[in-house]
Amino acid sequence: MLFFLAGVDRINHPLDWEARKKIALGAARGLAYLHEDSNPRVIHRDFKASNVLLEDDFTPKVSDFGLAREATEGSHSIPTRVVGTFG
Amino acid sequence: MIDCFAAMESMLSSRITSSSSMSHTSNLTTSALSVKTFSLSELEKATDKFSSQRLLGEGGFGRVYHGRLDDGTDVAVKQLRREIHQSGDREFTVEVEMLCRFHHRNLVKLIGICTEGHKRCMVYELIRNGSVESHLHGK
Repeated sequence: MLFFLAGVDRINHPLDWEARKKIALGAARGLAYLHEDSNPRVIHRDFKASNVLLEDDFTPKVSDFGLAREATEGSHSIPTRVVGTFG
Repeated sequence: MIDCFAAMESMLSSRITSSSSMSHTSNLTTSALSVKTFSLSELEKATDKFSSQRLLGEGGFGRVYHGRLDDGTDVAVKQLRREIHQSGDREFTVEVEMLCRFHHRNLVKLIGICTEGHKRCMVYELIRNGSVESHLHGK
C-alpha cells in the first residue's frame, strides 16, 4: 500500500526542474568519477533511469555494476556486441 | 570486517575454475578495502526470510529486499537469482570488486556480502526515494 501510494504521488508530482538538474549533474559526476578518477577506470555499460537511485533530497546514486568493465588504457577496440538491459 | 579480496578469492576458488572467466577482473582483485560478510541467517532475519512484503524491486540479476540489521540500520539486500551459474557469479564478482574500491557520493555504497552455500547476496545502503525511472513513469 505504501508503495502504491508512493507511486501515485510520483505520478501526480513529477520531478521539478531543480530536481532534474541535480539528478543529471550528480549522475554525471558519478560516471565522470568512474571514467576519469577511479583506479582502475570503469565503464558502467548499463546506465539507465532504473539504475539511478535517489535519496530523499534527490541526490542521485548510480547502482547496478553487474555489467561494468574495466576501461583499458589506450584501447580503441571496436565493439562487436551490444550489452545492457532493457529500460 | 574482512578483506574484500580474500572474501572474493575464497568464493571464487570454490565456484570458478576457469582462469579465462576471471581475466576481465584480474586487475581489480588487488583491493585492500574491506567489506563485511554476513551470514545467511543474519540476512534472513533482516528481511523476514526474504519476505515478499519486503520486496523493493526486481532486476535482471535478482530481487532486492528491504532489510533491517540488528543495529537498526536499514539496508537493501540484493539476492542473485537462485540458478547460480558461472555468468551469475561473474556479475556478482564484478559488482562486489568494483563497489569495494569505489567511493563517491553519487555511487551506491556496498556494506557487505553473503556467499553462503549457493546464495549470493549484496547488502547496500538503503536509498529510500526509489529510482529515477519510478519518478518518471511511476513504476
